[in-house]
Amino acid sequence: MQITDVDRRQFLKTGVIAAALAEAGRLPLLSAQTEADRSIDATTGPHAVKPIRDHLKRFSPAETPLGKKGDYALTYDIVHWNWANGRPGTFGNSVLGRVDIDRKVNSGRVAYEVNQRTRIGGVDNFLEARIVCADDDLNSVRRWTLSSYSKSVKGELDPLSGLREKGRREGERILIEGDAHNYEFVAGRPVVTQWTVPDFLIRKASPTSGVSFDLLQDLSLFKPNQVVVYDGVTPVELKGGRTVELQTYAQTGQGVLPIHYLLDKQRRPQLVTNSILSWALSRVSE
Amino acid sequence: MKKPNIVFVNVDQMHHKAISAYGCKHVRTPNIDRIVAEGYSFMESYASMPQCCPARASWFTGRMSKEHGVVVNSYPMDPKIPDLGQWLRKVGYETVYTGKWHVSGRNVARSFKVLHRGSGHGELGDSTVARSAVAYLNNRSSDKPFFLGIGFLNPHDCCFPATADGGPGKYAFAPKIKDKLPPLPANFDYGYKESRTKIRTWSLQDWRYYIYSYYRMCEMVDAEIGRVYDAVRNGPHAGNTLFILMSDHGDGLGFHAKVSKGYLEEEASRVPAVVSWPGKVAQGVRDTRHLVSGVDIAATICDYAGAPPMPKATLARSWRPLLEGKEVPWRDYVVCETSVGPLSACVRDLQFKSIIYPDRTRLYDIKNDPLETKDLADDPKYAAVRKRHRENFREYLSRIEIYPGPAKPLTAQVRGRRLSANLYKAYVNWYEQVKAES
Repeated sequence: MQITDVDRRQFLKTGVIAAALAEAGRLPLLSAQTEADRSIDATTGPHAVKPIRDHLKRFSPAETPLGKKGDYALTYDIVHWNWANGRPGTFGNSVLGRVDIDRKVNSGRVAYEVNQRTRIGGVDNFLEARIVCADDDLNSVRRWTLSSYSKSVKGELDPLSGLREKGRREGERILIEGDAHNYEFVAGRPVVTQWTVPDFLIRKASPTSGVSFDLLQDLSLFKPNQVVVYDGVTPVELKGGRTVELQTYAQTGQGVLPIHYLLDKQRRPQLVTNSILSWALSRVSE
Repeated sequence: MKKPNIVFVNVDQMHHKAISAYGCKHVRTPNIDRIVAEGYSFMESYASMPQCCPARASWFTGRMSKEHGVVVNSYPMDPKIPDLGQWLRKVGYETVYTGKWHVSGRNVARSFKVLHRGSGHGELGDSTVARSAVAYLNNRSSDKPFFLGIGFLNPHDCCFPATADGGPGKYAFAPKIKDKLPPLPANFDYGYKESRTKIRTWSLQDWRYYIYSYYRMCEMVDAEIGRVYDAVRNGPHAGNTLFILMSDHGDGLGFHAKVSKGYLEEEASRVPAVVSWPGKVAQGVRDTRHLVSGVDIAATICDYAGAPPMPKATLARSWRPLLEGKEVPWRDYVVCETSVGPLSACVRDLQFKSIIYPDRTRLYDIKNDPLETKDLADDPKYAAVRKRHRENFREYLSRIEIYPGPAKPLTAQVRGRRLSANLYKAYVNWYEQVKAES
């Protein structure tokens, strides 16, 4: 296996930290696993990219640098895992949508504009969000608007599908007002969305410290008690057989299967893998 | 009196214990917990058959799998049997459906207005299905009462990491969250020795990671259910809407070292069932005295909708009197059938359960051995129970109209599976033999 894109300084730094943690008894010693702990994944490759292995054969990482001011736009392909021909034991990936995450910083105010489109069951489904965040480490959400709707493949809007909501955080309360009903949640931690987590990793991720938050998925589903921790270096074989090593962080918590964020040496989150759905970075722009 | 609106939320493959309100410490389901607190839980609730299509066909016809013809997935429903959508339209309901339908041989769009067809993956489709339901509840303008069926996939996504190669499951991540992995069920070893699933190459840690993942999928669908429940209870239809939540079947979840469904042990055949309508349905009830079945769903909905019972639904009972706190005579036993693996059926009363095969019977004291670890079938002390269950089974067979199969033999291939008429022949022969016993 040829490693062509290793951030050796980061790799050595991580190794020193890991050795120190192990000495302090704070790092699980994987070599101490018993046969009962052996994983089925031993034969299927790195777990962090398992749901997206087929797509990686066609994947070229986005190369444009991220702007230093914190203004940038990331576009991800939304990649679907499925059995090939509906048969267990074989699988494939297909791109069924796209999400554009546009971040702007202005006078200490952080604003996101998100446009997400997925084709499910022959219908195109749209989510459009405008989010104003605090200028804290996590860009925790302050207020937002969200609209969603569906269109047929022919582009005809389904008139029954439209939803508009606006939300805000007041102390520990998350208040959401819709066209015909309101609802709320109680959050004990900073609240973020799946669209804003990558920015935290770009700016603040560290192999030595984790972070906890409450997730407001799609600005509608409250999933408290999330934790992101470092999960080591993942070697990822790409289109043309080239291999890169990506710094990997893992999110666990209520209502999510382990989510892996894989960052290149310039800290661009190139891949975000869930289970059935993953994101692959296709474009970076300022 | 104004007819009520009815929202029927169905989930796929939810184990009857995977709800935090019922005491499970490994999962957090705050939204289902809220429905449980505001509603009426049937704790002795069973699928009519623990597989998707047969169980779903029973919900929407009030008939058992060997009556409606969907004896396993892909076998088409008897075209002569009406479904709930067609039935409720006749009494003035707007019938609407979104998400997973999966009733073989019945086009959902002919019986319901379809909002969204969802996806075969909960992680992909459930949020969109929930959003379509909420949008419908907010945007509808008709004065008619409505029936809204909502089919969520999860936790059915567990089927994908349960395959031999682990599918998309990140099993090697397990050591990093070792302290969060639930323990194996107490009857894991009991089943592990004999279970056919031992061919699975999973380590014990893989098993625990599967269980961990399964609970997260339950939490995923819990959040979607909460979104819909908020729209029902906080929206314009709050005061006049009956809300029913049920699973089509359970999941092995490591009990008896099994995953998946299709068999008659409690983990696959027993299902959560909750009904809520504040002010109209008793709140916070955990009913352990009444045995109910998925076949009752249509009868219950027809009762509330003011529709006549569905044709030949001879076993289905409306839950309405129970939900309204009335004392009524109730069934002594419930039957759950299967055609996955060896033909079998179980007879469950409030204490015991027999799993009856053509050539043998297993008997468990569910009250004292809820994990089904001690087969009492050969113990003479329980001969009377076994005999009674056999009589129950015969009585059951005398009350159903057995579907002999379609006039034309099935030759089509559906999803790579070859359908044959042999399965019909097998259960018709077995049931006729049992009925003929004196």
